[in-house]
Amino acid sequence: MSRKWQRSKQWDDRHLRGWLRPARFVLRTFSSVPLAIVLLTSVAIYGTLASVPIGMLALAPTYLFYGLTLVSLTLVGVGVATWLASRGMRAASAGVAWRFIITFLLGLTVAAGSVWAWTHFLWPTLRYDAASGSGIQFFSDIVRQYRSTTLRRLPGMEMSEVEFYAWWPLRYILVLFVLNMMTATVRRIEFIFPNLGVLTVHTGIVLIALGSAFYQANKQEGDLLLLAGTPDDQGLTTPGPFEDSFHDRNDVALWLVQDGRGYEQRMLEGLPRYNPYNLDVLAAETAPGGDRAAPELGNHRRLDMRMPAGSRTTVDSDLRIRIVGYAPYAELQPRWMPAPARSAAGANPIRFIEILSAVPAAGEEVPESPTADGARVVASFALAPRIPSQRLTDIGAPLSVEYARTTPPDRWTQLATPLPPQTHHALLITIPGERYSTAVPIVQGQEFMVPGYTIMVEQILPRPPFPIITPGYENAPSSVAIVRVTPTVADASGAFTRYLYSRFPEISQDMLDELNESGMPRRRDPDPAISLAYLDASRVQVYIDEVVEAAATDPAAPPPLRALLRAPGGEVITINSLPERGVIPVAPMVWIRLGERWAHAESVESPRPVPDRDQDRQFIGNHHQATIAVEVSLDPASKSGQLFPKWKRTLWLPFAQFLKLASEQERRIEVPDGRVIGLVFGKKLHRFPGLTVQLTDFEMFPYPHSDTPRDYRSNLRVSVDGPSATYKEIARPTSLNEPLLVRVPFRPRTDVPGVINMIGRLASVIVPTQYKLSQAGWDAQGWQQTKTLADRGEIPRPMARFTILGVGNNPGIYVIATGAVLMSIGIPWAFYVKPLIMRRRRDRLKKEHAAKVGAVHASAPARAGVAP
Amino acid sequence: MQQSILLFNHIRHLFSAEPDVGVGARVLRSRLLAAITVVLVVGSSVVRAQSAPEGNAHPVTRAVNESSGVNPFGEPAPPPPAMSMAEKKAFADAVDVSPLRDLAVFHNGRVKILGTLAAESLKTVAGRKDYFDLLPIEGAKPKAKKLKHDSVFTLLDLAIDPAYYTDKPLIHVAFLPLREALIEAAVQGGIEGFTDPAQREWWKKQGRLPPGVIAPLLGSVARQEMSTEYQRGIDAVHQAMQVYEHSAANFDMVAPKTAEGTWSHLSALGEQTGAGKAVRELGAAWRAGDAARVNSVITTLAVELPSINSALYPTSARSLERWYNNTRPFEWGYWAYFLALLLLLLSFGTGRKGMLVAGLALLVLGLGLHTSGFVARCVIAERFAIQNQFESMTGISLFAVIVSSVVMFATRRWIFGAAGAAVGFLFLIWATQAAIPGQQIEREAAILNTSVLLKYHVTTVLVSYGLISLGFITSLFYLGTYYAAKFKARTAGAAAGGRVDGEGMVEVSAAALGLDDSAPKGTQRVLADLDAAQMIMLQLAFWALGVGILLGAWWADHSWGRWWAFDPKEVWALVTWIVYLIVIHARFMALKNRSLVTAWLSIAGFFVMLWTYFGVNLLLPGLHAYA
Repeated sequence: MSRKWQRSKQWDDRHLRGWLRPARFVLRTFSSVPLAIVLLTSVAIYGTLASVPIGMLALAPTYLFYGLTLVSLTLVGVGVATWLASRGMRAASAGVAWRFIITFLLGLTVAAGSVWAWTHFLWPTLRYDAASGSGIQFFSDIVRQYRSTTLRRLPGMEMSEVEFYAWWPLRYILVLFVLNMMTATVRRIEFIFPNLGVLTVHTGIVLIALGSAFYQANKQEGDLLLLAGTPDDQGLTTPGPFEDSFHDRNDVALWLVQDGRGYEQRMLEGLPRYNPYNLDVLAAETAPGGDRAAPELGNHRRLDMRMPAGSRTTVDSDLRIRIVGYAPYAELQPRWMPAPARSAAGANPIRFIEILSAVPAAGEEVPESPTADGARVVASFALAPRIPSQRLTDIGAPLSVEYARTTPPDRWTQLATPLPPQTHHALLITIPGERYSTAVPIVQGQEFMVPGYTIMVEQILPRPPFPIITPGYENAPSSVAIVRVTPTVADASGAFTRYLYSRFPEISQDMLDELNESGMPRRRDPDPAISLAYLDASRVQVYIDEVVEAAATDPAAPPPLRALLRAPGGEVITINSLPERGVIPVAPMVWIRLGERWAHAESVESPRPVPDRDQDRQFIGNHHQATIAVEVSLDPASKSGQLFPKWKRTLWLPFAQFLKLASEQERRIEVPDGRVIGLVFGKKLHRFPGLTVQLTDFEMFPYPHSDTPRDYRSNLRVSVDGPSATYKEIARPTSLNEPLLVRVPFRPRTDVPGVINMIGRLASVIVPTQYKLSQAGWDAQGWQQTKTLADRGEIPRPMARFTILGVGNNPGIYVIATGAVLMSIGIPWAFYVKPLIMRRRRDRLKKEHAAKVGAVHASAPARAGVAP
Repeated sequence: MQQSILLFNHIRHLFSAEPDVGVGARVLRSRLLAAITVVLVVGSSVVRAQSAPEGNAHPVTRAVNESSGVNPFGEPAPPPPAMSMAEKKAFADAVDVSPLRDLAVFHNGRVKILGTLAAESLKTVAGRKDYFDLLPIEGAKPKAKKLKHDSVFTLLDLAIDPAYYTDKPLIHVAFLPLREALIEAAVQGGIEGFTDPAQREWWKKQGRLPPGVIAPLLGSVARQEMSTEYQRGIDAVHQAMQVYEHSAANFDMVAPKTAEGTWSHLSALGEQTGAGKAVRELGAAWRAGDAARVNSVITTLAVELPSINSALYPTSARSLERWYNNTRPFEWGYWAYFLALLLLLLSFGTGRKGMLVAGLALLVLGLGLHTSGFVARCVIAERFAIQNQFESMTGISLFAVIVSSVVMFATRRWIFGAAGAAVGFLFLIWATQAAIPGQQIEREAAILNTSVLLKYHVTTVLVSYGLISLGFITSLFYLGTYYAAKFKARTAGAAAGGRVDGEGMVEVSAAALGLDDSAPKGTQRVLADLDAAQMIMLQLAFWALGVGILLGAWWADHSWGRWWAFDPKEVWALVTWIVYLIVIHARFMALKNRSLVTAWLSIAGFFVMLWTYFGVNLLLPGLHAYA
């Protein structure tokens, strides 16, 4: 106990008596070392809870138990062996050295043997096997359920690491620790030269704490996307556009735009990060049966975040915005939502189709006479007959279903054409001029003649060779026959290649040998002189057709139905009248059944959660793969709200990394009164205060002899934006570990005392409007693509289309750095310099004492001599 | 975006379809390119999220080089194998591949020697640095004799005669459940050699399966719900099969013309060049089993290849790499440390000076081997070799042994030498014998390559980890001494009915501490000295770790724009530091036995450090992907 601490306690005892006793208790508590240890331990526990998943923490007792078994076995083995050996050798009067050698080596051997025995005999029994449940694992349910869930990820918490560490419990702990340290320093440590080390360390910690508080309050951090300019005539990069803002790295916002008035940013404070909320928000309105979203964890959790308009809103104030759902890691997929049809002509009917199966599951017996009534629904899907790409589906390779509306008679006849047995592919050929019509079985590579033409089957493909881009048919599946048609008569037009889609004969095209101005083969509609249709009979094809009268006006009235079943090999079964809920057998013990029909439906997007195993860990918790459900409604008190009192619209919004490139992620909502609202979900945008940044060039430096990046360099130009004279113009590169600093230069004033300027100069280094631009991302794909061109000498050098810079303002970092330096030099002083000083003092005191004693002894006889 | 890429690719194709264009066409092309760039930029969605700065991860490991697919040694013969095992062994013994062993080859981002490539390839394929055939021996139970092959021979054989290995136990399937699943699938498929239960058990024990069995079955053993280990097992087998099937792609052995140029594949050698002829002849002679001709061609090749662009062909680095491969300094190093530790401990117990001198000599020998291995690795890798898990382990232990040796000679307390030997032994055996990532010399993460400050940060932190390890060992000595004395006192006291000072133990530790005969003896004195020793280490560790963390924060602020991100690695480094902060402050508390508490906290701190060092890297995602 230091003397100062004794004095402090004596002072307490003298002054803090009576009703001041609690103050004495508090003062003593805050002066105590155990409190510091408790608080430090709390920080360590807090850090553990923040970073280690609950499931992993729950594993600790299990591993402790495993370890104890190993240690116990080893200790017991070694203890018993060495004790016996020791006794034996004592009895044999062995020397100490030999006793030690034998005991030591025996202990080592027994320890190794114990570990071996544990590994081979005990460990296989102890080890927990999740599949069989054998072995020992405490809290296995918790381990499994919270395998990768940290405390801060639980529903109700939903905090990022930074948010969790900025949460009030840790703040209080750290504030208490600093108070504890300051009190203990003042009351226990003498302010003397040898204690300079500990005083420096403690001062450093206080500075770090103060600097961190300032830092925390003013910190900005984000990503700046800089686009490159268009290459010049020489193929060299030109400077890109100026950027005056960057996206925050953590905070998210909803962007709203109405009728081209510019984007308005509304903060999404308190948005979840890790758990799904209300994924089925559209379920009440969307398709029933198998198309309904699977019940996911979190469907039951509700979300209601109101997004009120700010004072400078650019969106009409009668539009009410709420966030009603959140999917942390999901893909948006289209779903159908029933809606009232405005007219029969504009209706988009939907038919649900069910696949029934009586095929027994593993271990079940084969039913004697299977029927559709007793079969189970194994799949269900919706088809939209008015949208070509949505009117058919492939159920794996062997079966496809098409649900059409008012199929033209010619087409129905084609589909119903029987083919010779064992035919898998066929061409239906009609030459009107020759009154020639035939069905020809074909195989790839086959060549044959018809009147006036030679036909060569170049390719038969199960999928289009490139995606169909015709509107309405986008990405639709269809087998394709590519045939080369060569006229054999002199006056006929030239040879051409015709693409025949088995599903969509209406979009067949002829590709001519001549090239267009783009260097591509010229295209035209099919030559009417020869009609070709491709029938794919390689698998089971079901065609169902709504036979709608031209005069029908009620879109809700179910139309009559007919069906065709084309079996592999050419056989055709025709069903002229198919009732509602009718069943079509498609294979032994497999049927197709008509399901519900909606008169009109609209397509909406809803989230499909990505399974845990397919998630990229770097995108968890930062919204990058998240979607939010936004509900837009009208204020009932507004004019439009009174006109459309029940109107509201909910849609799911995907995350957009950069607002500038959010065209694919932006969604629009049309209000019944004609207003259109655009919505984007992304990161909060910060505007630089009076400066802009421009990318003038970019370069990647690879490792020797390879394309692996070793460094990246963005050449930047920082310009002063507007009348502000706060910053200086800079033209400099930034690369890995070489950030560009945009400082606020200090301009001393002549009209104030020097000390004010000195304070101003010191303050200028900690202002939060200074930025550090560091290389954070680059356009690897664009660089690689253009490098290929550069390697071929077609452009002078590779180029990137963009660069991404990390932006940080680091307020008060120099205060923190000063504290760090004080700590770094204070510790060795406390550990090594102070003991040295104290030893020297002690030695000096010893010498002085010895000299004094010597002097006393030397003077003693004289004194004795003088004594009376 | 997909359409943008298609458009880009399409127009790029158009460019490539014009082999001879003039200036006007080039200008037009540039304009077109500009238009494409605008399209791509405006419609781009490849601007992906940046959760960690670019350059933060290690370069992707490529077990197989990209190549034209042409086998430089000619097309291999299809199965069945042309040679029996005995014939192959005889051929292998007759062929001398040693002239090829230190030829340079560019693989996985760096220039290395063929011997290294062979060892690495076989490690990937067979799970060991060389391959052996298993010649069946007649008997009731399946037994086999091992026929070992040189790794360079096997590498060439895989490229020239892969058919030989289709039914040989080549592919390492390390994960037992996956191995069992493959064997079960082979049984179900009725594959010959797997029908008999004894045969199945034999294959299970081998740990390696034939590629001809794995190839058709690997897809069938993938499960809907796979554990991470199972998935990793499948990935490893996939990679092994890749190397087996495409090892010929890895012979990028022709030096570039310029320093920036790329190394060329052997297949790029002209048929009329000396080396080109030799490569083709090597393949033909190898397939014919003509060992004499093979040896002759190998000699030619070993002369011809270095003569191509000889100015850029590495010389001394190849010799050093060969020395590093042959000497295996880290393996020998841990043996030296182990013996040093054993002798030092025995000398402490027996007081024999001879043992002490021998122990110290072995410690110095271990340190020499360790240092030479570390330096050689730095030279070969062309960087400070502390940038992956393996290298940091060799670095930690090296720093620990150096510090302990310096402190030992400065204070003449031999216990520091024993602690250093223990740390050196434990870390080196762990690094070399366990599957620690980074054993192969590879390129470092770009972020590490471009910062000197970061090297100081990493080095300081690793030094602190070394000191923590030394503190841990010293604390173990303290605890051992303390509890042994206590145990001895109890047992002796119980027998004698009184208190005994544990004299034997005093002698042991006194020798370890280098106390002279005149020093006062007694358990308390020994424990006090051991306590002082552990405090020396822990205080140094505390300081070094604190400075290391602050250097990291400085670097992070400089490079990433934020000094502290609460990344798990940062948090756990802080937690580790807090443990030692508690150790320092616990010394000021009114505890019954401060030294004992310190020793136990040192033990706890060591395990926290291990978690920070390994657990956080392997189990918690964060920015320190390169650590």
